[in-house]
Amino acid sequence: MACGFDKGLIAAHYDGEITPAERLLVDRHLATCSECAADLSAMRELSASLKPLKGAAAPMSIAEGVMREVGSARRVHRPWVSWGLSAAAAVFLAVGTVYMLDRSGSPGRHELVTASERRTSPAPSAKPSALKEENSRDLYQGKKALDIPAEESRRDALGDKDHAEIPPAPPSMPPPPAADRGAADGKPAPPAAEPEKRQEEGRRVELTDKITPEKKRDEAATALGKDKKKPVTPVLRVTSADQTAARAEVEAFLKERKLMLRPAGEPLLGRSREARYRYLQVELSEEELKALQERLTGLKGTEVTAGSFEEEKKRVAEEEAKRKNALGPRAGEDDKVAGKAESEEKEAPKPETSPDQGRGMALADAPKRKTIILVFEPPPAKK
Amino acid sequence: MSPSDLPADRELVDRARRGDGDAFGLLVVRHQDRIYTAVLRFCGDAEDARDIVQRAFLNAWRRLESFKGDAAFSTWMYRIAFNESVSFRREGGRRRLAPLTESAPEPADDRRPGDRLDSAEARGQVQQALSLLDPDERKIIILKELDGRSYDEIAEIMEIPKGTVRSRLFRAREVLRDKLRIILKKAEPGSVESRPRVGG
Repeated sequence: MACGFDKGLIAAHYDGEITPAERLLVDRHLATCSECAADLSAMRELSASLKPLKGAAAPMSIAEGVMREVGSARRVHRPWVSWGLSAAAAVFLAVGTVYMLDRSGSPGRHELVTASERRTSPAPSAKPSALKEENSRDLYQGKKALDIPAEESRRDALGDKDHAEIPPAPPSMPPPPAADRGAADGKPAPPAAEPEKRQEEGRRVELTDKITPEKKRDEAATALGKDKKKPVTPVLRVTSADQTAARAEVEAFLKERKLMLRPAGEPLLGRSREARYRYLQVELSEEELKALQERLTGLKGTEVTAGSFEEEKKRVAEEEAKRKNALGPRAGEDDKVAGKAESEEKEAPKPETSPDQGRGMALADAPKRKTIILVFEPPPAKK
Repeated sequence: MSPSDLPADRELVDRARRGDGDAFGLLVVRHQDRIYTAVLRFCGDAEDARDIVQRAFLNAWRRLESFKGDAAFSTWMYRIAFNESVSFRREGGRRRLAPLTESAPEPADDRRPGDRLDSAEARGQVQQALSLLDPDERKIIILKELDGRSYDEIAEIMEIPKGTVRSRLFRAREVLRDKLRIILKKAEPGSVESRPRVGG
């Protein structure tokens, strides 16, 4: 015979959503009603059955897709802002060009790559105030970023350290309008008479400077404690059993410095099913990077290691190979899902060969912060 | 470090309203896993879930002005995401049935391959049972059992009185238990349904 007790109260008791008076009432009833006691027990069993459905991880393509659209929407819905900011960027960069050309008599040299060699990524907007601030900042003169992702080089071109208005660079965005394209290239839109001269394929303007690409690589390598001779693209692996705590620590660190954590713009290391890494990016100075490393290392159960994209990619590939070996003939079933991600991976631009690597203008006025990719991952499971 | 050290959702929403895409990006990164889990379990398909969640966040971005702030951003996002799920299905979605063994990425583990397959099968069975519930039952199970939302939050997300949450949750659990029992019974080695057919 069905018990007439309020079953909602049994559910509330189980979920801890009950007042002390109600608890007393339910406890008394449970002591005498086997049906309601069985209901309570069944709720516990059901919760256990549902555990495997908890905690799926969102594919990074969601954040990437959203940010791509958010970037486009800003340009479409607020054209006056975009034009104004592009114009400000153009004026700033024109001044920068004159300044650089003026310095061409000094010893040493590096290359300024012409517009035709740069990626025709969408035009990021830049805050005039941020540009002014960056222009006056000269602390890092002579110290520049290295083999960093394309995203940073676009920012370098604008000299925008805050990046508050810059959407991430989608790999397949259509070229922006001419005016924006000029800003994205780190130059004002050239007048009609000049484009051929500027965009001539392969043409380079050589500038003299004490900074060489090798020297820049060495600086970044030093910052990450790596071999000076080896080209380094900064990747910081945060291995922690408590991913939430590690992320919260990073967020807190960045908040103190008024820096933003962003989804990594592109699937640089692949997103196969088993390689469930979380890629986020942030712009940090060398000091900030060291401080972040120290802070995370101090977090219980957290390990921080610096590395490069190439190392990271190699590691992912090795783990994937191991997984396939372990699964044997059934591995193919999992790969049905991973297949798409793997094909995307092949299309993903490699940071070392990104067209933005030759960002000439950026070399003169690069901000002191570099893009660091943070990889969040749990520690390897014990055998 | 306390939670108050982190930029509050509200602060990020305010910045996003002023056109700060990065602030919105942080909101996406912060909430996407929970929203994705909810939508994945609601619709039962990983690709649909990805599309729905993306559309939901874009809707949120476009409608930020209408976010009054009297509820939490996450509550608002759940509402948008569930509505988007319903619209997506109504529009035809990808016209796929919820798979028995769903294909969402799952936490990496170090168990033997056989164990992993068993786990995937169990997950598929529970997902299948969940898919047999009506949408409101599914929502309330997801919010309570998978996301651990309080009754107050569930009431806000589903726009129902708190008392209704109690009774509806009890009912939804009961229905889910029955569906799961039937599915597991069918999957038992000796059951009629699981026996291979002999001859034509």
